[in-house]
Amino acid sequence: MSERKQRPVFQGLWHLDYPATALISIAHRITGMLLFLLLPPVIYLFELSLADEAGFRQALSWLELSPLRLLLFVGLWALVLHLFAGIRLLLLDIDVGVSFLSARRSAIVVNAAVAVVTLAIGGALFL
Amino acid sequence: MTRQLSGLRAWLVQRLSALYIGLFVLVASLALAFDRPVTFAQWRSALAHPAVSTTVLLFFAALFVHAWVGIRDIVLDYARSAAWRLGLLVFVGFSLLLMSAWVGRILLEVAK
Repeated sequence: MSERKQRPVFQGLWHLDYPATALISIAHRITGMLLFLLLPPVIYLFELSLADEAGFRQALSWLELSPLRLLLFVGLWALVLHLFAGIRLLLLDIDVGVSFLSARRSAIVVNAAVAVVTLAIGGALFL
Repeated sequence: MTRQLSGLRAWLVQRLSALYIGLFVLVASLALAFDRPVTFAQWRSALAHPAVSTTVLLFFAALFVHAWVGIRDIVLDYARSAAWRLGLLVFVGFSLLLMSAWVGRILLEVAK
């Protein structure tokens, strides 16, 4: 184990150039993690909204508060990105778009689609 | 637990659950866009409908299994010792079981 500690480790992750495929890959993982962490509060709101009339109104009014509305927006963005990037991965699983150029193109398309849908959701939530 | 969800089986489970989740999110988004329940009564009666509560229950089942495979991949990639891996996987697995019981109770209560 001590031989491992002496081997050099590349620390300059911030200085590398990342193609769209790399960004979408790590974003897919990060949003997955984020969505997982959002599960308990989401289930709690779900339960609250179904308990009774007061709970329903309480759940909706909480989502109107700016910080929670922002969190809702972030959560929905995470869902959209994870879903769209996931669809791209499923297509890759059935050998659709596997060539280097198609993979890069599909990554760019997914990023653009996520941006469009997220802006639409943002408009619906905040305007 | 991890031995039953190793390799090909985990891969398959993750993909199949993803397909169901994707379909559910699509249908649910359309339903909410065109026929959003505005009052508590509408919301509750929508979820009390057997077709709805069944598909929602399946959605959560698929979601928790899908999350398990995904988080397990992350833990296996980044946790440096066997102790950490085991600890984290047990914690995550137990949390998912708890949430499954929670969601089950919620939907059972709505169906009454």
